[in-house]
Amino acid sequence: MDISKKQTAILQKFGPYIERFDARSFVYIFLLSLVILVGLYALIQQILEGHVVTGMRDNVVWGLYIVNFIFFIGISYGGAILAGFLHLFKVPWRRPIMRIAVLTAFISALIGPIFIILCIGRFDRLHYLFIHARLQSPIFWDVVAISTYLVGAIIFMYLLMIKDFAIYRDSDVLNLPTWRRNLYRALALNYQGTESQNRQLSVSKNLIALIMIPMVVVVSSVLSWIFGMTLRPGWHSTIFGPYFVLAAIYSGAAVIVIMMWIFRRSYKLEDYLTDKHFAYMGYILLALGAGYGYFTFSEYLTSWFGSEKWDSEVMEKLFNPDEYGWWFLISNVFSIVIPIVVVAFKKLRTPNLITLSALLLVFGMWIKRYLIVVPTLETPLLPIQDTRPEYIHYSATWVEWALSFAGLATFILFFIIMAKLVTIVTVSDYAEKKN
Amino acid sequence: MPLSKIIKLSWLICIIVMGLTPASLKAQDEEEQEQLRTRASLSSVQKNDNVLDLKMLIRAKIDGRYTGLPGLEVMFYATTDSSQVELGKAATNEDGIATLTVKTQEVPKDTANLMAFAAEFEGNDEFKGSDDDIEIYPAELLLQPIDEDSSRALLLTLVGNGDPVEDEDISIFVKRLFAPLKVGEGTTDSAGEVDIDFPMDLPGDGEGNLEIFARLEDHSDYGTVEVHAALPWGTPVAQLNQDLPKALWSPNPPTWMLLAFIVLMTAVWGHYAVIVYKLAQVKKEGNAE
Repeated sequence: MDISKKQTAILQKFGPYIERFDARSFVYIFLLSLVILVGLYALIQQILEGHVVTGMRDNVVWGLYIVNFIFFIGISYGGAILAGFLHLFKVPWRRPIMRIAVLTAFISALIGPIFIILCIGRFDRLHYLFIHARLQSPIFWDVVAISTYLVGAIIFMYLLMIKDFAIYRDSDVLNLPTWRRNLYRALALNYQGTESQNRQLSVSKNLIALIMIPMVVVVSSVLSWIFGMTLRPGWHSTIFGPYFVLAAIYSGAAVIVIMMWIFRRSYKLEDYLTDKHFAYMGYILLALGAGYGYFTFSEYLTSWFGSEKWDSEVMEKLFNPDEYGWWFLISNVFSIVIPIVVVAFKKLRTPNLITLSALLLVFGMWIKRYLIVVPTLETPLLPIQDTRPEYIHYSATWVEWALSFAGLATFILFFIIMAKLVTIVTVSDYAEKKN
Repeated sequence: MPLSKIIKLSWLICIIVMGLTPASLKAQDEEEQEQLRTRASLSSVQKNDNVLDLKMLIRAKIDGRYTGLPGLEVMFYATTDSSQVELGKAATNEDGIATLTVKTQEVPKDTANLMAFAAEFEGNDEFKGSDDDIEIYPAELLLQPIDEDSSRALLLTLVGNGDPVEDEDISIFVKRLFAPLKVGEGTTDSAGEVDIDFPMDLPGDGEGNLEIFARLEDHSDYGTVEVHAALPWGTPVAQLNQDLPKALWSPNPPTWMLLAFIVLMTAVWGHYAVIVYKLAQVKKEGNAE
C-alpha cells in the first residue's frame, strides 16, 4: 500500500525505537522483571499458606487487592471512554494520543482482573462463577461485564492498529526481522488501503467506539453497585454509579497524561505531543476534577449531615486525624484541588506541572479507593465481642504490597513491550488528514 | 592398675554420676508431672418417656484455665448399698462431656426409690484418672400446650418421685441455631403446675414448627428435668422468602433482570459479531487484490 512522505518521516523517527531493544530498555525490563519475580514469590507464599499471609480477615475481607482492582480497571475504563469520544467526535488533536489511550485501556484491563483472582481464596474454583452462575448476584454481573469489556478493549485497540500494521508490513524504512514482518502481515489482514476496505474498517471503528462509551458507563456502574447495593455505611449510596464512572475517566485521563509525558521525553516527541496536547488534556482533567470534587462533596456532606448511626462511625474514621483523616485530606487535595489549580492558572499550565498534578491525582485516587474499601469494612454492623484487633483493623502485609508493586511493574513492562511492537503515534492517522 | 583401666573406670563413673545428676532426676520428675490432674463432674438430665442422660464433664487445668478434654473414655455405673452395675461407657466430646442415655426403669433403686450413679475416667498417659457420683429421685415434667385464639401457653406439671413438686422455677426454651432461646419462666404451685405464656411471633422452620423444651435446672433431688415437644407455633420461614423475591438465595432471578441481561449482552456481542464479520470482509477483499 502507498505510504506518504509524512508517514515515512514518522517511521524514520520511530524506527530506532521499534526495530530493536536498546540497552536502556533491557535494564528497565530486567528491573521490572525483578519486581514481578518478588510478586510471584509472594503469590507462591499465598498459594501455599493461604490468605492468612495477607492482612485480610473475617471482618476486613477486602484489602489492597480490591483497591488495586478498582484502580486499574478504572484507568482502563477511562482510557477506553476517552479514546471512544476522541475517535467518535473526530477531535482534531487526538492523533498522537489515541494509541496511548487504547494501550492504557488494554493493559490496565489485563492487570485489574488479576487482582480479583488474587483476592479469591480458592481461585481454582473461579469457573464456579460461570457453571453455578446466579444472575441475581452483582458479583456475577461484574465478572460478565469485565469479560465483555476486555474483549471490547482488545477489538478497539486492534481496529485502531490494522492500518499501521499494513504500513509496518510494507515500509522500506523500517529494518525489521522477518518474523516481525510476518507478524505484521498476519495482523494487517491483507489491508491494502482500498476504498471498500477503508469503509469496512471505518464502520467497524465507529461501531466499537460507539459501543465502548455506554459499555464503560455500564461496567463501571456495575462495579460501583457491588458496593452501592450493600447495606454498609459509606457504600450504600445512590450516586456511587456516576461517581465511579467519573472517577474512572478522571484517573484514566491522568494516566494518559503521565504516559504522554514519559514518551514525549524518552522518545523526544515534542513535535507530536506538543504543549497544546497537554493543555487540552489539562482542560479535560479540570472539567472532570470539578465534577469529581462535586460528587465527593455531595457524597460526604449528605452522610455527615444525616448523622445516621453507622454512617457517622465511618465519617468519624475519615475525618479523625488519628485514623484516616490525613489520608482523606491528602486524597482530596491531590485528586481535586491541585489538578484544578494547576490547569486553572495559565502560568502553571505547563506539560511538566500538568503531569506532576496528574501523578499526584493518580496517587490521590488510589488512596481514595482504599478509603472506600477499608474503613467501611472496619466498621462492622454487628458488635463483636472479644475479637482480635487484627480482625477489625486492616494492615496490608508484604505479600500484598509485593503483588501490588508487581501489578504496577507489569503495567509499565507491558507498555515498554507494546511500544516496541507498535509506534506510539498512530502513523496511519497522519495520512488520513493529508488526504 | 594400668592407665587405660583407670581412664575406662573414670569414664564409667562420670557416666553414672551424670545419669544421677539433679538435672536428669528433674527430667524424670517432669515426665511424671506431665500427667495432668483432672476434675470430673457428673450430672443428669431426666427427659420424657423415662429417658435419663448421664453427663460426665472431665476437665484439666491447661494454660491456667480449666478446659474440657475430648476423646476420653468414661465408664458409668449404677450403685446400690450392696452392688455396682455397669451401665456402659462413652467418650467425651469436644467440650469434654461424655453422655450415656439409660432408661430409668432399668436402673436399680433402693427402698426409697433413690437412684445412685457413679462415673469414672481411669486415666491415661497424659491425664490422671478421676471420678464422681450423684444420687437422684425419678422425676418428670408433663407438658400440655394451650392454644387459644389470641394467646398460647404451656401448662407444665412437675412430678418428683410420684408426687407433685411445689415452688420450683421452670423455664421454657426454643431451640435456635446456636444456643437455646429462653422465652418464658414460672414457679410451680401446690399441684406442681405452672402456666407459662408463649410468644406468638417466633420464626420457625419452613412449616412453622418449633422445637420447644421446658427445664427444671440442676435440682438437688432430681438433677435437671426436661420435657421436649415439637409444636407448629412459629412463623413459617418460607413466608419470609416470599417477601424477598430478589434475594440471592431465591431460585430464579426476576424476569426484568433476565431480560435486561439478555438485551445488553445481545447488543454488545452483536456489535462484536458485526465487527468480526467486517474484518473478515477486509481480509477477503485484500486477498482479491
